[in-house]
Amino acid sequence: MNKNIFILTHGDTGAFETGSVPFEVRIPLNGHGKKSVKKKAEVYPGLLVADHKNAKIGDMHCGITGVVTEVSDSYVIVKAQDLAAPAEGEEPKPTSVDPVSLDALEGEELQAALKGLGVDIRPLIKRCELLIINALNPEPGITYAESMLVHAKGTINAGMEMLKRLSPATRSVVALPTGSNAAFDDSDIAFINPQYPNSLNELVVANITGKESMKGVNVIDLHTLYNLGAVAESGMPLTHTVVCVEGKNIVAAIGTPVGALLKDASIEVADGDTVIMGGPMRGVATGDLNKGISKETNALFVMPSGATAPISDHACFSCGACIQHCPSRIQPNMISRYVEFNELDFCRQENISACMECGLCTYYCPARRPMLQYIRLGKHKIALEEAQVTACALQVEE
Amino acid sequence: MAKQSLPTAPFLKVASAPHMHCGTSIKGMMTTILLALLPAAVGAIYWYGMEAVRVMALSIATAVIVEALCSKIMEKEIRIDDFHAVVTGLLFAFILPAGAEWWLVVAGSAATMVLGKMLWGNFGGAPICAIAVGWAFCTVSWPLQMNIDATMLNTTLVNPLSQLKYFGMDAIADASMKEYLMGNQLGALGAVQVGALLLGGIALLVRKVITWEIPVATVAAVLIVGGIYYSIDPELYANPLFHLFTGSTMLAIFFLLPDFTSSPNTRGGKIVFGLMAGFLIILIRTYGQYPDGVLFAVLLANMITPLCDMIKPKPFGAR
Ligand code: SF4
Ligand code: SF4
Repeated sequence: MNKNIFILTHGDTGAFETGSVPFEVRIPLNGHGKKSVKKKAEVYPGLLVADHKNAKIGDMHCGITGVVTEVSDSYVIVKAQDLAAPAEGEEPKPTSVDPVSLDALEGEELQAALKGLGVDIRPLIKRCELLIINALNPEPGITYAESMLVHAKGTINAGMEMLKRLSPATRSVVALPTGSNAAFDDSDIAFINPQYPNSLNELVVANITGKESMKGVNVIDLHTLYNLGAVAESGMPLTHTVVCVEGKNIVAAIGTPVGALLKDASIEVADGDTVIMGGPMRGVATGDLNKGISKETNALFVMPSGATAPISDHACFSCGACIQHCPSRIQPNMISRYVEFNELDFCRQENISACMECGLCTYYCPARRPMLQYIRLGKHKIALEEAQVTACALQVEE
Repeated sequence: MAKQSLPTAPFLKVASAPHMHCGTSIKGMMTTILLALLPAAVGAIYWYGMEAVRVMALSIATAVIVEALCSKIMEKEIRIDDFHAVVTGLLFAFILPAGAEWWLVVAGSAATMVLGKMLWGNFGGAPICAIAVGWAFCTVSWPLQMNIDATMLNTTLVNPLSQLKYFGMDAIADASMKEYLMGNQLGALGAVQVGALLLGGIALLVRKVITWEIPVATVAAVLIVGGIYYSIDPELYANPLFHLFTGSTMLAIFFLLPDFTSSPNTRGGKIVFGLMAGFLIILIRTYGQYPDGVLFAVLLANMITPLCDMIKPKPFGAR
């Protein structure tokens, strides 16, 4: 009803605050097989904690000084504490790592160096002709974009420069909210009406190229660019990132528990509230305040209990609200029904893949049907089915 | 488990994205519709007195009880608190003559609920507007009792549609659109409160309960098709405004045709659907056997809803 909540410009909200050192970090791992630290190991900022065997997925590093208390497949926990002084006669222990000089490197070497510093390079080197920097706040309520272009311009410029060294693109365009006066060297600028869902990559591309196709285009969002820039600027491993905590932008160590960030921002969390990692439209609710933020976590929100009516299993009554608001021009009402009954062929026929997962259908549904969830489920099932078909086809060929 | 480092961790609720909602609900929409129907109900009481109150109350009560009973039998959650049954009952009362017998009201309202809603599962399943189903059921079963002119003998109001049908254009020569708007015409008790319904319909549009496509398209079709006939021979065919302001046209435009489950969902579909309905209204009134063919037009238009739903825009990125 209220269109204003979808406005994505918030003006300059000031320089980012540096978060206080948390009592522990829970560094999330994502298939990082080789842990290079053991329980009780003493760690310091920048130390490698886990290595990924894929050469395009960044390694994980510790952001604080402390002692490892737990190592598992999905996280490494480091408890903050001062390290014991070296015993008599021992070498002084290292307290930080040396920066890596990236200037002279090129091609594969550069990629390997960045991977070692914690950068996920896969999205950065994607084959494309046009590179688009999506510099809009990604979702309603997230406020870092404009401040980043003012107060962290150096980091962003360093990121841009690095990105251009990595990406095969011949042209780059920065998508800015209408009215922004940020300037970029050697990049074109395009203005986008800052209203959700216009910040979605698909719509940004359509707006700039005039074509509803992602072919030959690679879109990098500002948060990723900032992470890259932080590494490129300092040559140090990626250990901190920007998180928008209910509108307040904080530079926090990766792995900082959600609860600690909220407490720092004096946000109370009560029983029954929902804590969201990511934006309020597309983010994921967490059930655990101890969960650590990842490199990609760009925001934290708390929805008080009772703020929205709960999701229901009510049947769709064809009011048409979802269709009216869908930027993909598909029929979420029909697709969600098909997913409910596992009719995947009908889902394909209704172009389920065109959905950009903006969440507007669910936002507007009076029956409170969890349509985005159904659509995500449907896409997942289709992917599984297709994987099976490919596997079968391979067997037949053999 | 890792040791609990935070003080008393609260129990969090997890949910799927998005975590915001615009705040609309079925109950809210139904309440708005009820409020939009209020002026027409007041108008009905003004013109028909306690008779109208009797019919409306009986119809609503029957609808609610029948829905609750059906839900029980079908072992479904009873959802009468979303007020959909109340809306359906009231709308059904609106198309009855004020003098309807009690058993007709009860039977019709029950048939509306059973055939028009519960048989299809629950709210959301019916492919046809429930009120039109109830109307067809009663008209076919008890044509005499449903006939407004036959049941309303002790009134000074005149039914402009019957006049036109049986006595020709001369009979309605002194028709005043303003009087029609005020409800000064004989007809179904709520449906003829044309001005009040117009007011309510505009309220629905403003509150975004319904969208503009169906009402606008229907009005346009009534005016255009009616206008064509009128321009062929104004002595033989009525002014298109006459069709708009008499009988159940206004009720259909704002309350029956945009009925959620039975109308198309896409913009193009809605427009075609509305145009079709308007076209049918004029056609049935001009050539049909019933003086007021609106409910038939609604039924027939509902038949093409699935076709209308095939008119959809090209999905994003599709070729
Ligand atoms: S999430 Fe819903 S509204 Fe958004 S693109 Fe997908 S189907 Fe359309
Ligand atoms: S908004 Fe909800 S109830 Fe309305 S058509 Fe879409 S899915 Fe159905």
